[in-house]
Amino acid sequence: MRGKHLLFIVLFASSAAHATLGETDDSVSKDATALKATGLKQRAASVKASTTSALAESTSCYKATEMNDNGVTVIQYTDTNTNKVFAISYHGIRRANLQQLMGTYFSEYQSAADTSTQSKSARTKLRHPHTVKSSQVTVRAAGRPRAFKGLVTLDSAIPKCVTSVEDLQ
Amino acid sequence: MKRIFNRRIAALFLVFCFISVGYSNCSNSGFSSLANVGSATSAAAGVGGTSTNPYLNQNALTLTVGCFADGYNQPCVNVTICLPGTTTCQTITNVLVDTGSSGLRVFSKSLNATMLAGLQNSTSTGECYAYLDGSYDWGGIVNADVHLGGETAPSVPMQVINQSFGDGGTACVAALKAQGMSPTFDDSSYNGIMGVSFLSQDCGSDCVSYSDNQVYFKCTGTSCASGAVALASQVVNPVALMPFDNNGVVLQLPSVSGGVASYIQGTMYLGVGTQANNTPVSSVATLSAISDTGNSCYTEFTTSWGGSTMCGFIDSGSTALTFPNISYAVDSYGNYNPTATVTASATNIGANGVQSTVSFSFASVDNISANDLVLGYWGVNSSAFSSTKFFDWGLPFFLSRTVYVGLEGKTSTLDSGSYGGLYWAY
Repeated sequence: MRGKHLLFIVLFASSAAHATLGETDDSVSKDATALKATGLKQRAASVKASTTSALAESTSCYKATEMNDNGVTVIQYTDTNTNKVFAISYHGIRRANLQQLMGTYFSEYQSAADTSTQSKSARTKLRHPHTVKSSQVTVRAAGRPRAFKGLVTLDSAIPKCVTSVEDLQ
Repeated sequence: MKRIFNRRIAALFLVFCFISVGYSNCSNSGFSSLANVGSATSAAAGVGGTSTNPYLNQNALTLTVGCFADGYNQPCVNVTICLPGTTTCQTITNVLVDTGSSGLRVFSKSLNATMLAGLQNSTSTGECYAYLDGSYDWGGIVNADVHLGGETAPSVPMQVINQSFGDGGTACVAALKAQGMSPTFDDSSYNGIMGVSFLSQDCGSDCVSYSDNQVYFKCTGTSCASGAVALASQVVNPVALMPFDNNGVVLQLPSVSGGVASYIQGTMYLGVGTQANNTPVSSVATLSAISDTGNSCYTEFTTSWGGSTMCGFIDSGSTALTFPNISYAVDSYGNYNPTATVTASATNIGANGVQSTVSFSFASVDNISANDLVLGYWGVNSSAFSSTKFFDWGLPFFLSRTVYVGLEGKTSTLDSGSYGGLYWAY
């Protein structure tokens, strides 16, 4: 039944928009409801630093909310000044439901992904990390089956305290 | 739980060491092959009460690169599958060996009518197995006895890739589209793919816990919906179910003179340190993978390259060395295209702190003959398609090397348990 529910959302997303990226904080809980996610919780102010460089300790300008979408951990980052979601990261057994999480920005991303040059390489299937940049959002995807990960940013909305968005996770 | 189990079988291991003959690792490495021994002990009754590995030198498969047209840098083996408990079998040629995925998948178009009819999907379970590029394998889960070399894993859950299974992939495609992919049915030139990643099952506990996992689907007629699947019924690296030599694999490929060849052959061994032919030399560097699911390099290590540190991984299913550009010429496809061969080095750093500096070379592949399917100097510029830096040690890394890949929850001469089986060594 859950699968049917999600399929319903997929097919009628435009009319059931609980868009989150670029929307206010309360859209996060709507996402959790729509995705039947569990474990919705506020994360500690410090965000785990990646390997590249430690995230600047100035995390006071945003808060991170985590949920588990049936095997995918989704973290939404909200600018505490504007109260808007400016980034979403995920990791888990599959890619996150970006249609739900990106809301109105999903179609912009889709168009960009379709014309992306990522499949140009003549001799290789690119099962590698890739980035799709459209006019307002940047979508990064990486990993492999059972260990996918990704990051979506609304680039104009990233607060100044975030010095390296790729460290959001 | 895993460690407790390992300790429990440690005692059995010692007994096994004393009574086994021709077992190469007992004397020099302590609790070196606990997992294998655990299986060996339990399997011993079935092989006549002897604890000696009855599969000495039967754990080797010919590993070929250049197996089929356009199969650039794709390593293949032959895999024989049988209807469980029978001698009704088919040998599948050109099965891609992929250290970056888990489990055996065979295209329905590559199966003969007898096998197609006999491999019944009694539970009507389908799987939507998607790769990062949006290509996906849809099809039913069946059980087959899997013969690799001279060894057999009984009743292994595997996938028959079949676009017409169940709902024809409708629910799978809908899920992938919602994930932002442009799904394309995987219609590769090889006949199947065998994932020998160190992750055992292809989904794991999340597909047991969550019915809406969107990876496994339960189908009734032409209607399919996401459903939970027990661990034992999930598609699994078949090596994990071998009675012996079941704690990982070893891939060994020769060097390629001048960096280019039409065809090469090496060996894939089952097991790590379970018999003489898969025993690591003492000089190998063992790099454990990061096991924290929240870490951005989960199931990978880190690599230092060009002054930056990034996630790194070793993947026989990647056709090239792929890494961010520093200052090299690139062709319109994103392949590195220097005027002369470049030799450089990068340092891999395991989660266990072990560091290993690897020298590698790359050169232009633009004027390679179409007959040359082995490209030792093939480099791809990741900066062309990813703002996130990473280093993918694809097939060229495997040339002139012996690469050891562990297996989740199994121990070996290279991992007494602290890495959980998640490691590479070379």
